Amino acid sequence: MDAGKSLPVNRWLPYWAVFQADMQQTVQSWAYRLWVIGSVLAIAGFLTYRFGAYKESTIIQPSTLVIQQILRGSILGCLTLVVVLTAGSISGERGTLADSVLSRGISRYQYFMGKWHSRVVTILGAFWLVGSVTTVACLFLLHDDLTLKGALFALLAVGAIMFTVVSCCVTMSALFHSTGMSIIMAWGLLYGVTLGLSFFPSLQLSPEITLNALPNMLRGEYDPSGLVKLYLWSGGISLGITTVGMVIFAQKDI
Amino acid sequence: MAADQSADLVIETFKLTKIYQNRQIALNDITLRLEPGCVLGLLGSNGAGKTTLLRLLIGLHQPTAGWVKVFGKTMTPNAAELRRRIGYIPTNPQFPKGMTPITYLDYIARLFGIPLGVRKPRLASLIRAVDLLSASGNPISGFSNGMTARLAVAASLINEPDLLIWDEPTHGLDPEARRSMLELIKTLSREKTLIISSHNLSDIDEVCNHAAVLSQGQMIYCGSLQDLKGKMRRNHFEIDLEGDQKAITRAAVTVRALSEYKTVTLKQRKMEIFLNEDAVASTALANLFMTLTDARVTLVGIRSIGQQTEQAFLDLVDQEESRGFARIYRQEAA
Repeated sequence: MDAGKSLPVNRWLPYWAVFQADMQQTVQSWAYRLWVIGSVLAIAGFLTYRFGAYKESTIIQPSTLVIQQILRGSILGCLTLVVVLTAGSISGERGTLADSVLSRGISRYQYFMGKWHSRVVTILGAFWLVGSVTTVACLFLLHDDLTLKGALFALLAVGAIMFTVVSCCVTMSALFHSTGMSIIMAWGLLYGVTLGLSFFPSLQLSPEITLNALPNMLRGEYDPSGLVKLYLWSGGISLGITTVGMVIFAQKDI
Repeated sequence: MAADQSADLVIETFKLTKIYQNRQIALNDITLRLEPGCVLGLLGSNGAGKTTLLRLLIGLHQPTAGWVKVFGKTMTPNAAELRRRIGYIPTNPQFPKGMTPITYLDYIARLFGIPLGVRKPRLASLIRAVDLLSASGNPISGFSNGMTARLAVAASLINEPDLLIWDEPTHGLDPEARRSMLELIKTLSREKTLIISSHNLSDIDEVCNHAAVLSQGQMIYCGSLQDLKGKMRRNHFEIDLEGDQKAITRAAVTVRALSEYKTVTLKQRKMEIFLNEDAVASTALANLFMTLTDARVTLVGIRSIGQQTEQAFLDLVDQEESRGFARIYRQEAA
């Protein structure tokens, strides 16, 4: 039969369309706004309290310790919201919006990557923005014992952990039909990965070890090879999990 | 619908079977060949497997067994290049929150990889064509069923597809919107191949030239709509009479005694008759008219009941169910 009128095609446009639409949807979601606004208010309150203690009671407030507490709080306190925000990225659209998208000229790989990258950018973007502002605020308001280079590496280290969390959650979202199940399995996977890493103490890679090492890192006392190892492992685990998830998702029913 | 050259077929399925999680058999052994220019009406009751079949054709589902070829190539979840030639409307189209017709159609066009210079003029003309110009900047969330249906139609046409797969396009539409939709389907059928799934058999009757009937996951008929109508029974008539009620009753008793008639029911001045399977309708009706003349009863009108696609469909489903275990073998007629 006739090939029909063939329109010009930009092969990566579908990926960008999903990436941009998902970023827009994520930023407009209640979970994302709650996370960002909640984090900003909590950090502002905490910094005001520490700044008051430093000025009024002249109790020394080392910036490195305060930032470590804030980053630790961001990771542990907001993890549930981040999991909720990412573990429903694909499963939440199954049978509804996903039909309208995946019945068009887009492959499952492009759809998965668009979703994954959009969640990584929105979550890490907000985290780094809030983290950078906090660092600068600490630098001016509190006892100055941090280095900018150390702060950059510390934010990257915590970002690497967040990257792994987001990747695990998006993967679970692609593998399970219900968002509830995705969230449960994402928690299971995150604990599993943390537990697995704890069996190799020589690797020094568990989130707990990284978070405890933050004050030293912020002061500029870090082991560059250890940081590189952390980034590589984090990237490797994330890529491994998402690759497996993407391959399975590409064969699954929607 | 069969063609000798597989390469020329728009859709070809072979022993297509879908079993969900080893629990539910949704489709069983569907072999279908669709030539260019066909307008295929997909019929079946709820849960017959219509939507499952359409989702397999578009690559949203993977077959448990068998295969689907579209435009001569195997359909898979990653066959984006095949889907670029298909326009699909799901049963209840869903739209992302906060989008307007312009942003939505732009999004869908980008999902097809259509570059800016082509997609903008195209979406503008489609919005005009489906009469959404005045609402083109309004949020879709506030749209009526008719408006969302029109938007879904525009989205399915944005890539200038060769094949349209529309799952219940008239579902939830008011009579005016339904009429417009049917007219659009007729217009599109002049240059495209269409698969229309619908519960409304009169819609299928009006716009389709081929039909496929699904029952409990199996295809019990696939062929031209005319052949399907030819399969229906023609032994059920309704007759309106006028005259003395006693004379009408007497005539009914006489007709009951005739050998061609299976049942004769009289409800005041309306007579409902069923002919025997082997009766010749013209002879039986001639005898009926003579009886009425003798009884001095006036014939006001006569209607053949079930001369519709709906009756043919129901007959097919009845026949299929009555075959019992013999269903394991294919019916030659199907």
